[in-house]
Amino acid sequence: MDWKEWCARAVGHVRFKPDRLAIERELTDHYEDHRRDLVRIGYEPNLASERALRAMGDADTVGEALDRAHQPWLGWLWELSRLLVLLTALLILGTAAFSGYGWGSVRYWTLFSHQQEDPYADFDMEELTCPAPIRAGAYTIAVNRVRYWAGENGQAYLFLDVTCTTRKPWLEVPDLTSTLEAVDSNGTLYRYGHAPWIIGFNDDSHIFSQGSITVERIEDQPGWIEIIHPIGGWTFRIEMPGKGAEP
Amino acid sequence: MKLTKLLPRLNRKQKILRNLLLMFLLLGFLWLVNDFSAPTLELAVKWKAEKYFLDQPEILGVFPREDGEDDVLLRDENVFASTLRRKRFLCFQEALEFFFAHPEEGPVVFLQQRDAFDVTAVYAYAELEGDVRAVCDLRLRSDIDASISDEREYVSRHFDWDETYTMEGTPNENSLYRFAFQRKYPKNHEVGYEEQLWQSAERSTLLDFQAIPRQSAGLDFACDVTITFYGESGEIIYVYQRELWNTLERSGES
Repeated sequence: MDWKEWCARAVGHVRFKPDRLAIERELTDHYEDHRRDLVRIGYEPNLASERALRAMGDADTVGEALDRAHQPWLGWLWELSRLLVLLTALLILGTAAFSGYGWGSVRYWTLFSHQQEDPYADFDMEELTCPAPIRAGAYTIAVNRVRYWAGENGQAYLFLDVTCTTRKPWLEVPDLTSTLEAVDSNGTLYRYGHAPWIIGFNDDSHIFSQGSITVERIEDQPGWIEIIHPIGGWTFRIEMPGKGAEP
Repeated sequence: MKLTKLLPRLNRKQKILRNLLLMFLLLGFLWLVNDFSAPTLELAVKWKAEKYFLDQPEILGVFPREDGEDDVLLRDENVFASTLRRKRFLCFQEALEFFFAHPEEGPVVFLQQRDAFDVTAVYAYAELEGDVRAVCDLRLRSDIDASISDEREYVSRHFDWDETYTMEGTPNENSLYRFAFQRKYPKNHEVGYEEQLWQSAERSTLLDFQAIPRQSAGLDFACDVTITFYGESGEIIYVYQRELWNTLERSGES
């Protein structure tokens, strides 16, 4: 039996055919290394081949061991896992290539959005006490800063810095733009779209968003203002300066 | 030195685990680049509803638009809203921002479609008994200066717009009516300037109409809706009337 016959016999035991070529290459490398070593220390080439072949052992025994190491189910599972990785990578490329929105609409860089500038930094405003954060639905909404500014015409303004966070990254943070209402201790109702106003600002990022709520044209120095999300059913009460807070 | 030589040598089981882990990471990235869109409409609506603190949104109807997007009408107990379903790459789809209907005391809720580029329908949800069809009269009034100009000519005209659009509809299995909207002056650049001015005035009025749910329809605009519900033998079952917007008087004062 020469090397080729030995190799074919051993490899023939391996049921997972896609591995056979690699196994054959590895066995041949091993055999050739041994044969070269024998030649180097003075063996005749033919004798070196014979000894190296004998050292490889019984072809059937080696083949059965190789078959156990290269089980078909494991082999096919490996092939499948490679295919899945390739397919997923192609789908990502496909999103960029075929989606009408392209990479530009991907908001992964706005997962955590921050308001860049404080538009009221130049105003001389009074700081008020922040209400405690609340849990509403999948979100935590916190008021981090409350500022009050009284205009010369008797109208006052309230500015709230708000953060919204969620642990569910697939959810966009709550819309504060047009969904809020407010009522003060004098019974005045503040709505989006008509004076006296309440307007929120935040973007539709995921996980974390920093935004603001503004209540405009507050009159008659109310003791408190309650900011309400009518659909969500949550409220923030801000104690106002002036007349003093009512219970 | 090859990178592969720097990496630890893995056996086949470890390679399978590595590939599966890599695949899940890539799937996460795929979802991320698709803006965390949902695989089904129901899920897309549910996720969007959470943004408005709605727990159990129920889809009342899905109606295709000409541009491949769909009007989606939904309710969550007493809250009614419309949204737009937009399909993205693969099975991903998203529901756009909700347009909420005005809270109603009676059995009928009037719903405007979420704006896109054109008004193609209005909707009504009716909790009535025996209604089989309805007629919707949408009266739009506006005070508009329309103008058209090109290299040769400048044409303008003032319109005291007052048009009523009459539409008919039948309810779906969820008691939702769709009233298909037909423009009186459809877009056509082949006609003369005078006709184009009418198109422009109508377009402007419809833009105001679309802005009502955002509460930004502005001045010089009024919109009234009347929906008459009929029974099987043609008898009137219910008449719904509502003034959706009116700033004509206010603008007159100013």
